[in-house]
Amino acid sequence: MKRRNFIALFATSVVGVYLLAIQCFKNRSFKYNLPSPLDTIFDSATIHMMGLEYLRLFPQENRPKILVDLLQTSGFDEKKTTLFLQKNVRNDFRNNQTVLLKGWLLSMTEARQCALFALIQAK
Amino acid sequence: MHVDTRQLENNSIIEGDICIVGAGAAGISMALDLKDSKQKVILLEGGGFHHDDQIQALYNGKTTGQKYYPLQSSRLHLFGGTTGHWGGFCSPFDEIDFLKRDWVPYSGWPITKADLRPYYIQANKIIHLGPFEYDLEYWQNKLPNFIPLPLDDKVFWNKIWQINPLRFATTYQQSIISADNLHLYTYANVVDLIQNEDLTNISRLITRDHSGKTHTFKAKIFVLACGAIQNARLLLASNSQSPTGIGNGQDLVGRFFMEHLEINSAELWLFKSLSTDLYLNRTRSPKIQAELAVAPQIQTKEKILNGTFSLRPLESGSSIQRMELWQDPDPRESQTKLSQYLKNRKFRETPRSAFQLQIRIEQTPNPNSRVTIGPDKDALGVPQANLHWQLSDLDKYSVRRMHELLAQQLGINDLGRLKFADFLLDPMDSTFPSTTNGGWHHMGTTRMSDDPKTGVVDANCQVHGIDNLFIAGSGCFTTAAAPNPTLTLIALSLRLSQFIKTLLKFKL
Repeated sequence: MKRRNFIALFATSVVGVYLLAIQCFKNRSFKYNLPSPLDTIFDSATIHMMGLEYLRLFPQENRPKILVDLLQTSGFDEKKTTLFLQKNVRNDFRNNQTVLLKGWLLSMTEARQCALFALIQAK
Repeated sequence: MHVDTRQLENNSIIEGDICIVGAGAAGISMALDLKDSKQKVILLEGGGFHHDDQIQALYNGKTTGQKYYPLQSSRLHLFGGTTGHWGGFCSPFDEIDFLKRDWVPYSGWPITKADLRPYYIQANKIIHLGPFEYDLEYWQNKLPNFIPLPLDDKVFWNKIWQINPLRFATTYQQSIISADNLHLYTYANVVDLIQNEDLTNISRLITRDHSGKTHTFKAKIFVLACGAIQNARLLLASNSQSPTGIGNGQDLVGRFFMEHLEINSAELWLFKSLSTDLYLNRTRSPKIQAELAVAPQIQTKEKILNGTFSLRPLESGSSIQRMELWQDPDPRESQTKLSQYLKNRKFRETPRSAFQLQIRIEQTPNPNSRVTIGPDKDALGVPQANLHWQLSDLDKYSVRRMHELLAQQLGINDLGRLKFADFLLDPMDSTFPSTTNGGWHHMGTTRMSDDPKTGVVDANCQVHGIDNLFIAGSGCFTTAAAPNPTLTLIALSLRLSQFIKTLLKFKL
């Protein structure tokens, strides 16, 4: 593949993932990107608030693409993504990868999910 | 036999074999153990059988440092002592509580839990609890629906409490009064302990009442059982012969005052409802409930103190800490305010899936947390006790770390999440807010150690250097442990009673 075409294809993929992420959050029936099972105790307003608080603490992650990359969920289908993220949440707690948001001790993964939700909601 | 000392002729002299000062949980337990023995046992109680404002006011004193309850209302000054309004929570100490822990300064008792076991069994009976069984498995076999939170029990285990707020006054008044060898003297406030010439013995006690009458009590053995604050006060105030106070050659009497920190510290939200009676069970007699206790190997690994979490229903609106409600010097007024608050609380409609966590944790032994006497005197001329309550960095670090560990366990096991209270949010802040509750558990002011340089009493609760003076109660505790102190202080007092019986049998 020529270099020019590769770059174009790569850029398209990135944009595609980004747009897919935005579309996923906009489609309320497509819930797998909401932090689960956190969404059993937090309503969407609380998830939104947590997300904003996370972004206040980590302003360098204030882009959906950055968060999607950190969450490493691109290319997964719904079910696989949910399981992957839940596993990461448990591992975060196991490895002390946690953050205190408004008093709640959350895993970094679910905090980033909240942040992504907050960003997508804003668009 | 009962005598109201106010009815005695002035300057009466009363003699016995054993003189126990204080008729609270410790004093009454010892008296019951000595009942029907060959010894003539004098039991002195500064109050009567009912609340008396003048008597209660003798407990007045100042507090400084970390905000504390008024001293006048932290204890009850009448027959039965503070069992007149205690909550009845009973659980034995853990083995680790007696050990030297290199991360806990001044830790390490000169006795072990095994030394107390036979007396724990006896103490259980005195408080009219169930069998001396404190394992979860035992009660799971007896009671339905005792399902624990599925946490790793190598990190958090389920410690069992039995609950019975037995009122010692009404339960044991008749037994005490009707016993031939027990001689209860009410309104007998001890104002001075007099030593012999070489200061190695207590030769007599002096009591006084509000009319000015004084009496002398003589015995072979004297036991101070008035509670940690009052015991220290009496030793310090009896300074006509030993200028720094009796048993205080090393400046330890009154030091190492310890409380339990009991704080509403977090909200626990579960992803699924928890259908269990283990943590909130209040329907049986004895009542049994569990608290989540941090495992000893985790205490060692993390270098934190021993503590537990209890689960309560979540209130709607802000909860009020006890320290804010219990500020009236009249204990009855404070109790009324607290009871009204508890009765009128409203709870969130999140049954069995969201809970208020309350931590109960020991305080690091701190020599600067102490009872002293000041220039102000009570109506009987005894210097008032002043309390300076001081906490340590390890206390706050331990509280915070316990929450982090619990949150971690909840996360690893997909159980739920914790919301920390505001005072835990800043990891660099080692202070506690003024609303921090104590448990009304007064401990450590005449602590136990084999070495007189580090303790006021030895392993038998005998005051170092004084052959016939002993201390009964939680003032002898070297460390505070996690659970409420009453069961253990009664066990320790019964052990002392056994030692005194042996002493009198073989020496005299």
